[in-house]
Amino acid sequence: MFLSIDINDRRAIYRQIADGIKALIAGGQLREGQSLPAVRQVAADLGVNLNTIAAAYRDLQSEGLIIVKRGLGATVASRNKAQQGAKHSEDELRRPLRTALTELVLAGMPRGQILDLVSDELRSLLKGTKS
Amino acid sequence: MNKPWINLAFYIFVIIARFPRIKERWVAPLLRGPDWFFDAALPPDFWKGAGTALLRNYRWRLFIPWGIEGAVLLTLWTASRLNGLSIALLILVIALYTRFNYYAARMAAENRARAFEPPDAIQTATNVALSLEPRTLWNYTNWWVEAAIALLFGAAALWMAFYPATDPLVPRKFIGFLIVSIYIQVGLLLVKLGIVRSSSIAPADNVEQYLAWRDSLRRFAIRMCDLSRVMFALYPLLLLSVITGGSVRLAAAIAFGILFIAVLIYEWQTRLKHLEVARRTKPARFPLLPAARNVRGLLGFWPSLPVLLLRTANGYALNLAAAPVRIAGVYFAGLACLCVWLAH
Repeated sequence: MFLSIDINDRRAIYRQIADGIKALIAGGQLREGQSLPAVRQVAADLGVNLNTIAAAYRDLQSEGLIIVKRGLGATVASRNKAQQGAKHSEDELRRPLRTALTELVLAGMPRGQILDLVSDELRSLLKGTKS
Repeated sequence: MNKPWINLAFYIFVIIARFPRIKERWVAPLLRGPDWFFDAALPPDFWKGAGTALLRNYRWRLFIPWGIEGAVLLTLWTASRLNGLSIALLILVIALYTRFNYYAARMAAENRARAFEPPDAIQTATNVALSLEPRTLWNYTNWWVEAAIALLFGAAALWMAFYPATDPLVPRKFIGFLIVSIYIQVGLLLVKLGIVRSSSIAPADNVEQYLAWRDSLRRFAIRMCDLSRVMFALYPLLLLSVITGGSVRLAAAIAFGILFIAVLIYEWQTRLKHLEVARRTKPARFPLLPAARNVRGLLGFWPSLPVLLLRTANGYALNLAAAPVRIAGVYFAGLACLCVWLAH
């Protein structure tokens, strides 16, 4: 299982890592209880500061997606716990979607193409899940 | 046969054992065929122009350690100082220098070859991928190797316990040797940990093949490290057989020689398998880290980066702030203290 990082991406590396792991959990490639590599391993692989990776893991932990135990590393939390931990209102969940859609509209993309794009992304995200 | 000749014969044996490695380094620039010089993609006319001289220079540089080694060996021989200790030290220093010399020669030749590389031959990968498989020492532990090492040390300790020593100093000296051997085992285990943790990213457009090559390299290095650990664990038994003397010494020498040859054959076969994976893998180029862009020297201090070797525009720089440097410092200081303590 791989995590992709784009050096030219406008998002910070820690954000890309957190988003990448989130996508793998959402897509079912990372399952409950599965171990994640240690912060040091990811930092050494990418050649970045330890704090960068620690920040990504902290974000994921605060959203209830992973459990970090000192000395034991990080594991993927159960989806139920993640849903309880996140406690996002619908409006909160809509906000990033609205921002992304705004970007696409401003980029001049027609409605049909936006719908296709969203549908494609959703399909690829849910490729590994049963539902 | 008197002792200096035995030492010389042993040395010649060690030199013969190096031949596969020499051959590997000799052909290393052309491993991927005539279109590549190490990881540099070549223009069609490279071998008609500067390429031949570049390859010749690289190969000549490989022999520098041999020249130094030959001169030192001749000096030791003429001064009648060719003994077990001087040979062991010479082999260790030359082995380290040969490795350093190879990497320096490779880096210099590869950098020169890059000047001839067509502009779009290899794109710098801006989209990189890393494996999310945790790499721990536990995952890379071969329990048969660990059991063999424990058994060898146990056998040496038992032999010593029942050894009818005529000289009371022998058991004490042997216990000291056993302690140093265990300390060396700890050092080799730290080296293994470093290999397990060595960094591993891949270009996003060739992830699986590239990471397979990295894993092959890691597993090969770990196997060699484990083999070294087993060979070092054999030394106490070999020493005991030398102390015991008679037919035991002869049998141990023959057994050790056969084992050494078997290890060399195994090492060469494993290396060939790994080289086959390396040959098939297309090289990738990764962007320099921001911290490395203006680095000129070979040393640096970057406490925020968890890397031992920082890739720079001209090669690599050693990060003195990396944890392995601190651990190595403490380890060698401990070894020195241990040797002083045992000497007293």
